[in-house]
Amino acid sequence: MSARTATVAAGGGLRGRRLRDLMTNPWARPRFLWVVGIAYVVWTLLPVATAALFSFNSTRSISIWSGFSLRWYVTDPNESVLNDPDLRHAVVQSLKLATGAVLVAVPIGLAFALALDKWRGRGSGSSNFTMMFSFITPELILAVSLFLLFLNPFKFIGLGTPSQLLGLGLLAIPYAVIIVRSRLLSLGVQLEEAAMDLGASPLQALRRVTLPLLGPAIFASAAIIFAFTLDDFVMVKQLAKTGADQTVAMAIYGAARTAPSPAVNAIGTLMLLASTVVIVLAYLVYRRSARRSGARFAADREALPV
Amino acid sequence: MHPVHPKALDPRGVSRREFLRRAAMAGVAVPTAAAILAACSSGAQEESGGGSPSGSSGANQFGTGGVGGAAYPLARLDAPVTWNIPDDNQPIESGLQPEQGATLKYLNWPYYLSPAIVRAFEEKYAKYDVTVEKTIFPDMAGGVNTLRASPDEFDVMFGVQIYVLGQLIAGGLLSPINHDYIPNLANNVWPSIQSPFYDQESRYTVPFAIWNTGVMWRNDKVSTDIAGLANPYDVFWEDAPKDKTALLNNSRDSLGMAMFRAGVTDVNTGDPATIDQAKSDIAEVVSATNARFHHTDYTDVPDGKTWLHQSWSGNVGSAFYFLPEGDTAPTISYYWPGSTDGIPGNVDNDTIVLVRNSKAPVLAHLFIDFVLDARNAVTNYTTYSGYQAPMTSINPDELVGNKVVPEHLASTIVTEEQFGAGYRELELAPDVSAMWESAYQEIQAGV
Amino acid sequence: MLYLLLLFVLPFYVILSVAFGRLDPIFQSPVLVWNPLRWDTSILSFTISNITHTDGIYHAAFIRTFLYVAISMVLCLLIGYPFAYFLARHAGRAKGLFLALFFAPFWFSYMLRMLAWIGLLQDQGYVNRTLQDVGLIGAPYPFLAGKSWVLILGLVYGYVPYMVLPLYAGLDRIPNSQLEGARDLGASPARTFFRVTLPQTRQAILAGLIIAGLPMFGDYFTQQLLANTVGTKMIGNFIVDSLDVPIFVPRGASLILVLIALLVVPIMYYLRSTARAARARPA
Repeated sequence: MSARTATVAAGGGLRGRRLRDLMTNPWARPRFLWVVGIAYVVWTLLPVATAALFSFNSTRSISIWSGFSLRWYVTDPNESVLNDPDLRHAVVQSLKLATGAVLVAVPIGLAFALALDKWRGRGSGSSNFTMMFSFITPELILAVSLFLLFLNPFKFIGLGTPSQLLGLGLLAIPYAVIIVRSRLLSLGVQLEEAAMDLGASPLQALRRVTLPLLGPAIFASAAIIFAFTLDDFVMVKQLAKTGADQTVAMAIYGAARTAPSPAVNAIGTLMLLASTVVIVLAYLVYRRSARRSGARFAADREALPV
Repeated sequence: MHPVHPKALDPRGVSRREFLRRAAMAGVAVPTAAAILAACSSGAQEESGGGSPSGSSGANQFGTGGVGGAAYPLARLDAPVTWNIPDDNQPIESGLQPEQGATLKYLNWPYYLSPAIVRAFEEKYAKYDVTVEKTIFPDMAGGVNTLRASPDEFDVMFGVQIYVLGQLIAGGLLSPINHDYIPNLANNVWPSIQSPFYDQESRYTVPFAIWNTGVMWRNDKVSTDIAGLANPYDVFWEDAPKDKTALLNNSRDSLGMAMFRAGVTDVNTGDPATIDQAKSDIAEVVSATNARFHHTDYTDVPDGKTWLHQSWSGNVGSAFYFLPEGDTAPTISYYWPGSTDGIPGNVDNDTIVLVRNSKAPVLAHLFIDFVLDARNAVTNYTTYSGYQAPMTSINPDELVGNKVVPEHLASTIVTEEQFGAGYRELELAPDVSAMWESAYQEIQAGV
Repeated sequence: MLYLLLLFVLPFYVILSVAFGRLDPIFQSPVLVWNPLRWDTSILSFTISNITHTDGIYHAAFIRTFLYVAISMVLCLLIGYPFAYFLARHAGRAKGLFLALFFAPFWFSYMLRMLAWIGLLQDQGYVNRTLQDVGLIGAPYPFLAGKSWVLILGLVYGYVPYMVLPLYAGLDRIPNSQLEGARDLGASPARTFFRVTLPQTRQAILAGLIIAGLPMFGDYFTQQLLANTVGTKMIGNFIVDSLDVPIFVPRGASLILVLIALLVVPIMYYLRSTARAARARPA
């Protein structure tokens, strides 16, 4: 809507000097789009910034600012993150589940991606299909079906942290597969074939050529999976058993529905920091190793399913 | 009689209302014998069976007494139930030592048991290296489901309402209690509930909190004199503020209120016409006011998010936990319609139960005993949960005078006489329960 | 693959067996029935009839959900496209920074973002106070008291990044040379957009609509946090509420079946188009 009106307005009214600018930069008014760009970023990030800010509020309110304080992080004797065992535990559980999800999903996803790459037979299509189906299905459906699964036929697993992990793994595998596969596609088979021409067995070629080259992709998928499972809500809530299985996302939800307190903003902010650190690290590592191995970003993006 | 002089209620002093703490100490007294007898007689109620066509006693493998309609006896005031203790579910033996290094897991409503009391328990039994872990459920249905889904996980459950006890006991989810570990039940709790109709001899339960169900409102936003109305329930139908009204989020309380308003006293009825009428009445409130279904009145009303809320009296007390120190909440009012002549109202109590297959049953018993300690119960009531404990050490008639409860909120207090005369929400036969739940779901669907 | 079989395919069958199963007589809890020959379809027909008849329990919620999601999808597109366009074509040297800032919400907790809005939209929140200060309203506006448009905006806020991502990828793919060529041939910026850019992003738009829209069908928590009244309940709410009451679990399971049936068309479209696109790319 806005780009269209902008271009129409531009086409109607401007001539001369501006026209020369148009020649060099022929699509839409940059200034207007900059407004759009900045407005979007502000609109997306400002509420989160306020939520983080209120975690430092000196009173209990999450809407009225009364001054800066570390009360909800350390000093409040009962309800700060430091002193409230439930909050602390939620932080630990979130980190535990996210790490576990990475450990489950990345190896499986890697294996899956390699298999899909090599296996040209009839099964590969349906395997890929099933995986993508699980990717696009709304999370609630997956969560409820696993919930019923663990309560009835798989009662020996039951609910709780192990099943939360399995559920998160289910959600995360497609991400690993997609990222690794896109990298595989851009790498092509030449390097592996070259290795085998030089006498390596397929397994050796895999281990010594392909896997190292996939390093950045593996790392990137690990980082992305970590960041998004850290905040997962629907799946972990459905499969939780006791208070010990509560994560930060569940704690925020519970508090938002009963009695919001800045302490909950505080644990949310801590998770924010954790995710940001992980993603920034991943980005730096990916960029550095990708530059070193000379891969092309564009080729990777070509292979993404969007 | 002497007011008992306290040592500090709790060294950590979570009390946020200094005058209430002082007053609680002064309010310790023994109720008169007359009050006890009045509560015991409770003959003023009419009671009928829970909608079962057969109406016969539910004597069967699970217990004796009650009325029929389900696979297990349904307790009624005039048909008390004694639950069986099967051979494979015997209470633990007396005189055992507490378990070492155990993690005691309990289920509870939010903001219902003071963390200070929990910590004090851990300290008292520190030599057994006990850790206590809490799991919160958002409402009774959620609690039952959590217990059902993980029957071997928990040790104690608080706040179990009477109308779910039958299915829990018959479902083999609870363990009978050995009262040798819980002397505080006999010593401290109202004699009238020591062998209640729903669990004679307190075989599986001990009482926890008592309350009445009424109306909480912001008197600076709602100008109606609710206490003065001929039928106080009418305020929801006639003067309720749009977008600022809320009802309790379960079928029994919401439909029950519509029934009380219509003069129906049997809120355990299985009569489809009554249930249907109640459903339409509540649907009327919802469409007129866009009412929400919640029980977070303890923050919503002080915050101004809701101005008129169907409430449990204890939630008024809970609100104080979230208010600044010393605030007497003059803008919050509460009234129990049952106080008005000729208008029925709900009173109820809930229970603490012992979960079967507990890994630390001795500690579980001791935990229950600890919570029933007179001082702990009073602390929990006055400084945290706001729910009145049926302790002999609390004289309801003196709570206002001793400034435990502000005078304008006196309606939150449940006297023994009111407790005997109010109408209870009791367990329903499954087909009747299905009717209630369907009606409630239809309200939720806006139909 | 085994993992997927166990945790994805099998649970679907579990849902079928619960939806078509019986109820335990004592506790009225669901009993699974595995044998398709003994399936009881009464609950499913109950559910379907309650969806299709205008006074059915789920009828209003289904229509409402589709309406909310449709409006949200359109809004996501209207907001997301210009930003994606900006990101792909204009951010220039700041592109990396903007990309990072754009990606940020992906890894910020959805819950935290909703909590932020609750804080802002409460009666004492900044939005109300600002509106009162500038005199637009007299008393605090009850944003969180069950307003459909607040819920829709919440959904948009939550899922718009999912719209931008495929749009960005699609827009980025269009080589500069094409647009310059169009300009050279005398097309105005508007025509360039409509005739060159937009058609090539059609695939991306559809992908974005699906990736952003599908999760909204399973959303229940946005409603619970931002609106939470009877008049705004979505399908997801009914599914989740049904699980709370043991006798209604089969209803919840059948709701899921209906939901899957309805969503299977866009899901299949998405899967086919990505598979096609993958095959079309040079390996």
